[in-house]
Amino acid sequence: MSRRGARVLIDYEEAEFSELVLRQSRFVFRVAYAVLLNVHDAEDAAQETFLKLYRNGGWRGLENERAFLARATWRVALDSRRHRGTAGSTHSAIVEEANAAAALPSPTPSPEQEAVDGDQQAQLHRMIDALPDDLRVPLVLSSFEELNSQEIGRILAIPEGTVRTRIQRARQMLRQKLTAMAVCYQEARHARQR
Amino acid sequence: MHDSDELDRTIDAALAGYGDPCAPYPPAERTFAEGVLAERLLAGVRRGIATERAPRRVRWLVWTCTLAAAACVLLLVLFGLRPAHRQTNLARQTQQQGANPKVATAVTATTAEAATPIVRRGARAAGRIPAQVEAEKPDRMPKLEVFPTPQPLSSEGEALAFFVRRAPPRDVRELLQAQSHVDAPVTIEELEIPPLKPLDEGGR
Repeated sequence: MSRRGARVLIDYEEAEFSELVLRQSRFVFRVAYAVLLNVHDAEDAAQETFLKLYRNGGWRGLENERAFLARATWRVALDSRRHRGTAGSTHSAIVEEANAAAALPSPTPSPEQEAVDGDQQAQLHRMIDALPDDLRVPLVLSSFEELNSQEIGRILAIPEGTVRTRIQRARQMLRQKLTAMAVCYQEARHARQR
Repeated sequence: MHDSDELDRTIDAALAGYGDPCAPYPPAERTFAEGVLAERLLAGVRRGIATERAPRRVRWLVWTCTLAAAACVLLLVLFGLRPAHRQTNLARQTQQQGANPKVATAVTATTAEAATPIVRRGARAAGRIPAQVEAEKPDRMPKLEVFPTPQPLSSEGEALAFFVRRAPPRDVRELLQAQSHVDAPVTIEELEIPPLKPLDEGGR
């Protein structure tokens, strides 16, 4: 092959790969975030995933792009967490922080606190952060339409039934926390009205 | 039941935006502008590939140099070590024969043939032998029936070597002169025998 032909091929491949990154970067980032609970680590893991994909050429002709990417990202994120010496402590610190934030709010929150924590979505995200790893990751993966229980099971190397059970348990925990939070807010409101 | 559905919807809505870098929810550090993340990731991947390629080139260069050096060492071992080995053996022999090289050469006349290659190689190494002489490499010469390996000295030779080492130079010179006299052609003077006298004249 001539040098020019090789250049054209490389350009074509790079363009294809760039499209893949543009298409799936958010998805890959979210999967990495579900494991690492940190924006910077998640970005590094996403980058590492794409770099590995480019290196081994595994991105060409994927049947189920998202399932493949989710599996690759999950492994990279786990490796990243394992290899960082302080990652464990950082991760546990994040979980503790999330637990503290997701704990029942004070019955008499200050107006500033209420303004900060008022966003229900943000509260829920902290609750999800506080879930154990084995419940959080299947739950987050289940939120993607393209991934069913069977594929999540294949990604996480666990049986399909286990995936369903874990998702149910995670949702149950979130429901309980949400209900408790709603009760606390109502009580606080009543207290302020009096 | 209604409450449960409501909670599930809330959870689904939260999950849809969970970990989304472009979600508009606080905290602000989680949010990226649409497309910014992809651009950042692509830039990171390009950087990673570029940094991988550069050491690969260096690694290739290092391997090439190492192989070339190894080939040189192999050639040196093949063509340099063998004569050196012989040379050391022969040098040991000549060392035994005496400190004075001129006398030792004279004494070891029998091993002169074996010693010749040493001189030739030594001179070649020093660059004193012209190229045409160098071309006569012993490796390329036909194999002899009896290889001229140096023979150990006979008891007579050893005694002579000992004498040469220990005796004063004057004695050695005399010995050499005597040796040259021995080697000179022997001249025998003609004998003059007087005729015998008859018995009658002398005896009676």
